[in-house]
Amino acid sequence: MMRPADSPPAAPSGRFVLQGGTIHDPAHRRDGVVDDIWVVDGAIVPPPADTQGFTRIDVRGQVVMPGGVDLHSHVAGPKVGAGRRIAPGLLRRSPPAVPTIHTAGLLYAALGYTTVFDAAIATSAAPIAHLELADLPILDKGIYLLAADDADVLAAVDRGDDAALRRLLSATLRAGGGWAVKVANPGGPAFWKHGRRGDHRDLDTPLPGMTVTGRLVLERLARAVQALGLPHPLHIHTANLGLPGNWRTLVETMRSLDGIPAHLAHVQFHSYSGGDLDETTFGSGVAPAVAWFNDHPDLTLDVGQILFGETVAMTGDAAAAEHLAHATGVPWMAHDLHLEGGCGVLPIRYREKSLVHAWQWAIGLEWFLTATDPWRLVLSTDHPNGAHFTAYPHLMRLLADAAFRREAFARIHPAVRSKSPLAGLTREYTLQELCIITRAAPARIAGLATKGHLGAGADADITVYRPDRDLARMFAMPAQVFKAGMLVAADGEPRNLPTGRTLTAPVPPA
Amino acid sequence: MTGPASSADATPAAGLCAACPLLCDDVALETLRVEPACDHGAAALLAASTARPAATAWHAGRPILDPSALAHAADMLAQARRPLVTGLVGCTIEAVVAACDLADAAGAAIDAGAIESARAAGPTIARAGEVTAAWEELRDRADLVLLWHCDPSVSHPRFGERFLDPPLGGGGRRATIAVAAAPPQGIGGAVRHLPAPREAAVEMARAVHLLVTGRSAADCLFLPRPLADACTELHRAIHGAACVAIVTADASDTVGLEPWSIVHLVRAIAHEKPAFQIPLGPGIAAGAGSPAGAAAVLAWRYGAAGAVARADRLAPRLLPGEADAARLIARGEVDVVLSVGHPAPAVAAAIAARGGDLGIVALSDAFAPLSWLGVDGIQIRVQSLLVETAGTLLRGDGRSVRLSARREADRPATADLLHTLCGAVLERQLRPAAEAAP
Repeated sequence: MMRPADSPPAAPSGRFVLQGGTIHDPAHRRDGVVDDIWVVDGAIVPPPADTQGFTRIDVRGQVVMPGGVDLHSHVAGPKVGAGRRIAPGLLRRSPPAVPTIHTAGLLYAALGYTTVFDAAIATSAAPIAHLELADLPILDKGIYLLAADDADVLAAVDRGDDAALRRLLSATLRAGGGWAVKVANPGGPAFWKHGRRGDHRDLDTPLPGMTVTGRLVLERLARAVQALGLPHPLHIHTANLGLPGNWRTLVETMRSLDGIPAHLAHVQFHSYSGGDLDETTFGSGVAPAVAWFNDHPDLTLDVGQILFGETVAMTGDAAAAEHLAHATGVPWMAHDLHLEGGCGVLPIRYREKSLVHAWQWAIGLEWFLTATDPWRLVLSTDHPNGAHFTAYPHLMRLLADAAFRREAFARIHPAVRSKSPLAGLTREYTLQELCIITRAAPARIAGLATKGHLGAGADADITVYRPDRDLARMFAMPAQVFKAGMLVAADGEPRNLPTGRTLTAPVPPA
Repeated sequence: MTGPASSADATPAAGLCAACPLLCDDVALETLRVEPACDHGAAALLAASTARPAATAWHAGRPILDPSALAHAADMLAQARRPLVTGLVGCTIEAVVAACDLADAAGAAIDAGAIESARAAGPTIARAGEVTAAWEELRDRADLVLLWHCDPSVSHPRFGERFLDPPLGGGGRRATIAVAAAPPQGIGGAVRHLPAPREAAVEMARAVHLLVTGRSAADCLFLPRPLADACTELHRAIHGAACVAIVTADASDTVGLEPWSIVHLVRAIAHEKPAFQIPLGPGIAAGAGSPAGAAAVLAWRYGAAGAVARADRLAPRLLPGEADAARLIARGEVDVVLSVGHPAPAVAAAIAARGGDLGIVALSDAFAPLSWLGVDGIQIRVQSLLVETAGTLLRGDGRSVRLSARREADRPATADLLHTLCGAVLERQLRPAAEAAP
C-alpha cells in the first residue's frame, strides 16, 4: 500500500466539514451534486447556523460516498480459522486469501468499507466469534446466526408451532448476539448427518425422521423472522449450491416465499443450468431466475461473484463442501456440530480456462447486468468463497466499463464465450449505481438506518475517492476514509484504529 | 432448547472441571467431595479448593514480593533479544488474547507446544484437512466407534462414561473396536480388541482405505496376514455401520504420516456415509484447560495454530516444524521464555535441558515453585483456573464453555496480570535511551 507525499493530515474527530465534494448519496437522490458534509461527534448533521469551530477539509473535485457495507462476508469464527490454517501458502500472499482478523479490518477500511457482517456463524460458535470480532479494528460488525439448523427450531417447524419457532429464534438471537437469521441449505444438515449422501435434489423431500421439507423450513422461518420484526429478513443460502441444474431450486426457493421478504445469498452459485453432475451441459440458468426476481420486489440478493485466482471456500453447507472436495481432492475440513449443522472448508483455484469456472464468472456478471433494480442487489464475492473482498474494485470496473469487460470476456473458455448471454450485455453501471450496490442498498437491506447514506443523523462513515477513469484504481485506494467521524485510512494506509461497534439486532422479548 | 449446545453455548457452567481438555460440565464441587469427576479431576479440584499457599511469587525458587517479581519479569522481557511466549493451555481465551498482545509488544515468537505445529511436513489440516465432529455427535450418532491406537480412559478419564457408554440416540446399539497393541482400560461395554502395533498404523489405515474404496482383500497383502485380516474385519464393520467415528490420540510421529493416513481414511468413508474423526489430543498430559482455545486465538491473530516465529498481527511469520517452542528453546534461538498457564511436556523438557542460560517468566496457578523453572526464573502466582477464574474455554472439540469462579480470588486473573506486564514492557521499551543509560 502506497502513501503519496501529499497525504492529508489526520482530521479531528469532533467537528469538521468536508467541503465541496461531489456527493453520491442515492438515499437522498444526490447524484454527483457538489455539496458539503458536516460532521459533529461521529454523526452527519445538517449545515449548522454557526460554523465556527469546524475544521474544514477541502475535498473539491473528489467523489464522496457513504462508507461501504459488506452484507455477506466471512471474516470470523471457527470456519474462518480453519480457512486460515488449511492453506498456509495463501496466507503468505498479499493480500492473504483469508486474512487475520486485524488485517481484515485494515484492508476493509483501506478499501472504504466501514461495516461488515459475517454471514454464517453457528449458534454454538457465537461466543468465540464475538471474542474474535472484538479484535477486528475500525469496522462496525455483526453476525448472522445459523439458527435454522438448531434441532429444536427444526422440531418447531416440523410441528408447525409458529409461536415456539418465534420464541426459539428470539432466544437464540439474544443469546448469540446475532443481527439476522441465516439458513444454509435448508434442511441439508439433516440429510448430511443421516446418511443419505448426494440425494438431496429438491426442496420437497421430507427431512429424515420428519415430515417437514426444505420448502416448509424456508417458508416458516421467513414468516417467523418477519413476525419478529428483525432488521434483516431471512438470509437464505438455498439448497443444491454449486450443482448443475440448480437454477430450478433457486426459482422454487423464490416461489415458495410468495411475498414474504427474504434475502437470497450468493445467487451466482445457485444459477446453473445443466444435467445431473454433467459438466458438459453446465451453463447459465440466470434468465428464468432473474425474471422471477425482477418481478418480486420483496426479494433482495447478493451475487457472490467469482473472480479468477486462488482462494478458500468456506460454508455452513457441509455437503456442498464435501462434493467439491471429493471432486478436486484438495484438503477438506468439515466439522459437525451437536444439535445443529456444521461447516466445510477447502482451498479452491478459479481458472479462466476452466469451463465451469468461466461459466461461474459469466453467470455472476449476468446477474448484475440483468437485474433491473440496483436497490435490491448487493455487490459481494461471498468473501473469500468467490474472491477476496479486495477484488471489489476490479469487479466494479467490470460492471461499469463494458470495454474492460469485453477484454476479460475474450480470455475465458471459448465454449462460454460462444454460449453466454454476457456477450450481448452492454449495460454499464454508473457511479451512482455502484454506490447503491456497495453501500446504500446493503445498508437498507440489512436494516441499518444510520448507514449507507449521508443525510443528517447518519453515522459519519464516509469515503472520499479521487476520480479516475480507471474505476478499479479509483475504488481500490480512497483518498480518505472516515469511520464515525474519525479518519481511519488515507491512501491505503491506516491512520487510526478505533474498535468499532458490534451490531446486535433489537429482538422483541420471547 | 434441548441440551446445552443448542443455543449460544457459553452459559455459565457452575460445575465445570477444567482439569483436562474434556472440560466436564456435570461436576458438582462440594467442600471436600467432587462428584462424579474422575480421580484426576477430583484431585485437581480438591487441591485447588483447599490449598492456601503463602507465597504469591518466587524468584530462583525463593518467595519474593509481587511488585519486585513483576518489575523483574518486565525487565527480562523488555531486554530479551528474542523472547518466546508459550504455555497458553491452562488459561482462558481472554488470557491467550492478552498473551498475544504481550507477544506483539515484545516481538516474541509464540507457540503453545502442540505437536501439530512441530510436524516436519506441516500441520495435517494443510496437507489433507480434517473431518471432525462435536463429541456429542459421536455419543448420539456413531454406531461404530474405532479407537485407533488410543485409550481415552487414560488420556481423558471420563470420555468413555460421557460419550461412549450412553445409548445411541434412537436406541440403537453401538459397536466399539479398539485397534491397538493392548486393549484399552476402563472403557465400559463390550469392546472388540484387534491387536496391532502402533508401527503398523499407517499401513493399516491405507489397507482399510483401499477396501473402503472398492479394492479387494488381496490388495492388502502388503500387511502380515493377521493385520490384513484385522483390516478386513474393520472394513466389514464400517460397511455395516450407519455412522462411523474414529477416535485418535496425538501420534508422536514427527513427520505426520499417521494423522495424514487417518484423515484420508475418514474422507473416504465420509464420501459414502456419515463419518468423522475425533482427535482427542494429549488430554491429561497437556494439563488443565483448553489447547483448542490457544489454537483458535493464534489462528485469528496470526493465521496458524502455532509455530509463529514472530508475533505480528499485521505480518506474522509462520514456520511450522521450525519455530515450534521446543525447537526454538533447544536450538538456543530464544533467550527468555514467558510461560502462561503451563508449558507442554516437551517444552518443559526443553526448558529443563537448556539449564541456566534461559530466562523464564512463569505465570501459573501452581502453589509452589515449578520444577522446570531453572535457577533464575520468576514465577508469579495467578488465580486458580479451576476454582477462581471466570472466562471462556474451548473444549477439545471446539465447543465454547463459560467458566465461572467458584470462590473469590486473592490473586489477579492471568489476563489482567498479562495486561499489566504488557504495559510495563511497553513502558520500558519507550523509555528514552538516555534515561536507561547508567
